Amino acid sequence: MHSLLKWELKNWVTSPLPRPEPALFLSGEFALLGSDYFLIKAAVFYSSIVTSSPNGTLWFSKALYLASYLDPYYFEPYWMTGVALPWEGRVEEAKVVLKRGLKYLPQKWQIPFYIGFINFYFEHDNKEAAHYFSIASKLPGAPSYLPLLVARLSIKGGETRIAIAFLQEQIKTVRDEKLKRQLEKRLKAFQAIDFLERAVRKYKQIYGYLPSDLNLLVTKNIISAIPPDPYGGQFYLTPEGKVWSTSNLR
Amino acid sequence: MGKAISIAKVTFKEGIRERIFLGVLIFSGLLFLSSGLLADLSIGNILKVTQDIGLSGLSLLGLFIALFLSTHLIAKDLDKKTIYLVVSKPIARWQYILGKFLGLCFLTTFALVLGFIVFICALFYFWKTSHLIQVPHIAWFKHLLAFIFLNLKMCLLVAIGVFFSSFTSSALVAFFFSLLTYFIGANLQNVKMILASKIGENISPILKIVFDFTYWLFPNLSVLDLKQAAVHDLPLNSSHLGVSGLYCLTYIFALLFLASFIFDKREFN
Amino acid sequence: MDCITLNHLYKTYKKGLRHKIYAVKNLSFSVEQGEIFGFVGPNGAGKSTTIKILMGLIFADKGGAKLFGIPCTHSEARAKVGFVPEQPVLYEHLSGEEFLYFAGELYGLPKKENKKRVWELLERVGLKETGKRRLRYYSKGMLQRLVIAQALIADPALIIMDEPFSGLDPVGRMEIMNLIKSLKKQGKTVFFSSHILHDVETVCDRVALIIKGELKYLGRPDNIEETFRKELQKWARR
Repeated sequence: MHSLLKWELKNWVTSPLPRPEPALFLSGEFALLGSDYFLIKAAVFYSSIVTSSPNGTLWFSKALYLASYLDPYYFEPYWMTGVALPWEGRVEEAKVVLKRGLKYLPQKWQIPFYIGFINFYFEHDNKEAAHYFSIASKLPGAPSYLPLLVARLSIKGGETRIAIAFLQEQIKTVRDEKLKRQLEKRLKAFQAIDFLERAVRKYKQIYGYLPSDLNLLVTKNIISAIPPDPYGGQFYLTPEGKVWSTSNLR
Repeated sequence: MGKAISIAKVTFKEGIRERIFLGVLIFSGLLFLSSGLLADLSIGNILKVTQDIGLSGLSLLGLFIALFLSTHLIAKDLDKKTIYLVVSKPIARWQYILGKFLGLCFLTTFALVLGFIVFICALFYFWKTSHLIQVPHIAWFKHLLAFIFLNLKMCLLVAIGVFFSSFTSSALVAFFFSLLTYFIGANLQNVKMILASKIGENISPILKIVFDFTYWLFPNLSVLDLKQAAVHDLPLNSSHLGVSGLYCLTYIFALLFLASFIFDKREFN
Repeated sequence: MDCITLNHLYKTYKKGLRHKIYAVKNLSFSVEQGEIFGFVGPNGAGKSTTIKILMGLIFADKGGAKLFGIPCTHSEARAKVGFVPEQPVLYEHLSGEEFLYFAGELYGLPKKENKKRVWELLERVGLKETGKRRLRYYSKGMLQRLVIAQALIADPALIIMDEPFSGLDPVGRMEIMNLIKSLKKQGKTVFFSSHILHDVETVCDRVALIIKGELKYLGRPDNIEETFRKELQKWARR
C-alpha cells in the first residue's frame, strides 16, 4: 500500500477514542451507528494495517469496548474480542468486554465459550474454564463437542487441540477475507505445534526422556521435517515439554 | 376543526412544494438504496449495519423535517406577514396552531412513509441476496413498530417546534431551542444510566437535583426509540409501548395547549 | 347597528424601560352601514394600528373596538368582514385558485359554493386565465387583485382596507376607486386608510382624521386637505 495512504489510514484508525459515557451521550439515538463505526475501525486495525504495539493493542481493546458499549446487543464486537483480543495480549480487557456481553446476550453460546477459552488457555484456570464451557454447552446452537472439551480440560497436552478446535469453529463463520486469513494463519501455527508436540510425546515414549532439541525429532526419523512457523519464527521446545515459537505467534 | 384542517392542507402543500423538501427526500432515498453497499464496508453483520443505516437515516430525515422545516414554515408566515391574511379571518388562534401542527405532521409522516417503503424494499433486497453463511432473522413487524413510534416522536418534535414558534418570529431561535430540547430528550435515559453507575457516585447532589428536574420537564424521547429492539429482535412489552404512546400524546397535547395559550396573546405588528 | 364602533380606544408601545408612546389615544368614532369611510392621517398617525386592532392582529390597552357589535377580540366578529392588508405576502407555492379556496374555507363556506365563488371572483378581478398558476409567478398588480378577491370571497358586509392605493400606478388606483364605488352600490360598507387626501375626498362619504393617535376631525370629506394642514400646524406648535 502506498506509504502516504498507509500513514493516513493509520492516523484515522488509531485516532484518539472518546470515553464510552460521553460517546453514548453524544451519539444519542445514533448509538447503533456509532457502534458500527468503532467496530469498523477496530476491524481495519486488526487487518494488519497497523503493527501490534502496546499502545496499538490498548487502542484496539478500547475500540472494541466502545463498540460493545454503544450497542451492547451487537454480537460482532464480542466475537472480535473473543477471537482476537487475547492473542494481542489484552486478556483482562477481553474478559471485561465479554462479561458485559453475558448480561446482554445470554443466549449466545460463543460468549461464555470465549471466556472459558481465555481462562483455560491464557490463565490456566481449568476450574473457571470448565464453569464457562459448561454454561456455553447448554445454550442453543452450541457445538456438540463442548462437553468433550470440558472433559479434556484435565488431559495434559489438551490445550493446543482445544485451541485448534476453537479456531476451526471461528473460521467456519467469519466472512471478512483478511480476518479469515489471520485466523487460518494462527490455525496453521497451532496445527504445526500440535504436530510437533505429538512427535515429542512419541520420542519420550520411545526413549523415556524429552528431546533436548526439536531437530532430534528429524534426526531420529520421528518426523520428516519441522514444519515452518507461519509467523516467521523458529519452533522450540520449552523445559516443560511444550512446543512454542520465537515469534510468539504475532 | 374544519378550519384547522384547511390550514393543515395549505401547510402540507407549502411544505411539499419547497425545493429543499424534495432534495432531502431524494438524498434519503439514495441513502436507503445504497445502505447495503455501505454496510458491505463493515466486517460485521451486513444486514445489521444496513438496518442501522436505514433506521438512522429515517430518524435524520424526520428530524430535518420536524425541526428545521416546521420552524422555517411557521417563521416564514410570521416574518413575511402571510399570517395577516389568516388570523384576520373568523378563525380562532388555537385553530391556526392546531392546523399548522397537523399540516406539519402530515408532511413529516408523508416523507417518512416514502422513506420507510424505500428502506424496507432495500433491506428486503439485501436480505434476499445476502452472502452470509447464516442469514440473520429480520424482525419485520418490529421494524414497522419502530417506524410507527418514530413517527410519534417526530410529531412530538413538530409540537416542540410549533411551541417555540408560538412566541418567537425568528426561525433560527425556534430551531435552536427545538434542537436543544431534542438533544436533551434523546439523552435523558443515557444520563440517568450514567448517574446510576459508579461514575454517578462522584457527581454533586445539586447537579443530580438539576438533572431530576430536567428529567421531569423534558420529554424522554428514548422511550419512543425502538431501533435497537427492531435490529436485534428484542422482546417488547405491549403495555410499555401503550404507556409510551400515551406519554407522547399527552406531551403533544400539553405543548399545543401552551402554544395556543401563548399564541392567543401574541400581537402581530 | 354600526359596522365599526371605537370607544375610547388606547394603544401604547413601550419606549425603553419607563416611557411609553401612544399609537392610539382615546379614539372614538363609529362607521355606519353602507357608507364609504376614509381614515386619514400622516405616516405613523396610528391608522394601521387601529385597523390591526379591528382585525384582531393586535390588542387595545384600554377601551373597546367592535365589529357589528361584537368585540374585535372574538373571531366571530370577523365573519362578515373582508380585509385587505397593506403590502401582503401570500403563500407563494399555492395557485390563485387554491389560495382563494383556502380563504373561502376559513370563512366556513360550503365546498360547492366556495368553488363557484372562487372562479367568479377570479373572473371579476381579471385573473381567470392565471388561476392555476402558482403565486410566486404573479406580478405585484396581480397579487393585489387576488388579495382583494380573497377579501370578497365570503361576500362580506364590511370591507376594511389598509392603504389600498399604496404603490399603485394611476390605472391601478382608478381600478380600486371603481371597485370601492361598486361595493357601495351593492350596499356594502368600505373602511379604508390612506395618506393620499385627494383619493379620500373623491370617494368617501365621511372621513376621520388622526394625527399622533388622536382624532382631530370627523365628518364630511369636503376641504379635508385644508383641515389636515391646519391640524398638522396645530400639532406642530404644541
